[in-house]
Amino acid sequence: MKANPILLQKKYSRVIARFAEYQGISLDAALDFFYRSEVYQLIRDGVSDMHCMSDAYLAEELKQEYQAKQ
Amino acid sequence: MIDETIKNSRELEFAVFCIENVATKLGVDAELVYRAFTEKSDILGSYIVPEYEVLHTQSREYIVNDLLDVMEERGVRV
Repeated sequence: MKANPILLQKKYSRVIARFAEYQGISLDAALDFFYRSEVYQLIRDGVSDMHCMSDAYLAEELKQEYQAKQ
Repeated sequence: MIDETIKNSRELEFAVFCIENVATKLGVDAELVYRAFTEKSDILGSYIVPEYEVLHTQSREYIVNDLLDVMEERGVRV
């Protein structure tokens, strides 16, 4: 993967904000979950070009992982 | 020190910026930096978020070096 790091950071924050909205949790809680999630590792490592997926798709993936871990 | 929570998307984006760029500078995973800023210390809630208005006007290099100084002052290691 060779994604622009600045664009990737902006994408992370958009996905976290959308995930917080989907799940109805605070931005702090969403940030906390994001950095411990498998979804983050997949995006960061460029697995299956996850970083190319839409913000909505990635936020939904986070939501599913969050709900599965509850 | 006052612990503040992230109030909006601009502060969230800045928090991610700080975590990712410190990780890049140190050559470690951003998750470890996040844990250093939240579990090993309260740098996120007591420094990055409250000082957002001042810090975010500075250059990336200044912000990263400033955060490394704060980590050293507080004895936080990644």
